[in-house]
Amino acid sequence: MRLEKCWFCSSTVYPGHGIQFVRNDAKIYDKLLLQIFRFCRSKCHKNFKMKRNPRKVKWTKAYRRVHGKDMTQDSTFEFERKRNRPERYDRNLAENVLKAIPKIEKIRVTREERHHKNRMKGKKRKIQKEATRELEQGISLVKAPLALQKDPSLTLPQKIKVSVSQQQSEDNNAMEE
Amino acid sequence: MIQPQTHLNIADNSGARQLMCIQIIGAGNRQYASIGDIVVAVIKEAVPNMSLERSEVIRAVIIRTCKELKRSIGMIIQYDDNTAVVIDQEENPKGTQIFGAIAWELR
Repeated sequence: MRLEKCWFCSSTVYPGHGIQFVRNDAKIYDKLLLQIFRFCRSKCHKNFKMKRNPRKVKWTKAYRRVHGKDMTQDSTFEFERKRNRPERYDRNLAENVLKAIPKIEKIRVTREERHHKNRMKGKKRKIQKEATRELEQGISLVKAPLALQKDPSLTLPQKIKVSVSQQQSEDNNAMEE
Repeated sequence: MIQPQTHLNIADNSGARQLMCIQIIGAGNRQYASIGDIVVAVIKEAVPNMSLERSEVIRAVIIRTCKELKRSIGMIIQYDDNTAVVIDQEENPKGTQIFGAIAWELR
């Protein structure tokens, strides 16, 4: 039993799920090439039949990898590579692998979160800037400009800079002691 | 879902190229044949200078269908075309080579 990856969205296909499509790619009778496409659900299957390229369909893993939204290269991916040679059963090996799987999973998840965080780095400041701009420009939608002029408390608070002089800090230190 | 008048490709080197299904063997009232069923077919197109000729009536077993094959373990397999392999009366294949994928139902 093997857990396959969906050809379209790259999610795992568990046994009993999905559909496999076998395509004969042979043009010449003697040379025969086979391709097996596995799909996790009919959504992926239908998109495939529509001849959509998964690299252009935004919710697929292929798109996210190509456009840098998700990690592409990492050493944790090496553990999950497809191996065609079956391993001889070794109890110790099996035990170690079962212990290692959740650890590797955890590492991979933390690295992916870090990748996401790096990607979203400059975003908070940008959002705040846009928000202040929107408030300044569009406050008339909320309150009429005349009302704002009458009642100054309704305007945005101005940033007040408080400069602490050196003298004060020295005095504070004296008090602490 | 092969029924009479369905055209089938051939996946062996028996000499036929295309068959048209005439009848499903052992069917009774059953409408359709699927993978593993034997059909009676007439050869519509044949490779020249081989033992089988055009408009010869032969038997064939279906090995691939565009309609999905559902297995009891939950696996569903769908092929790209409808294909058959030419058979004689004792259910031995007439050709010596078979091309393409074959499901294990046909063992």
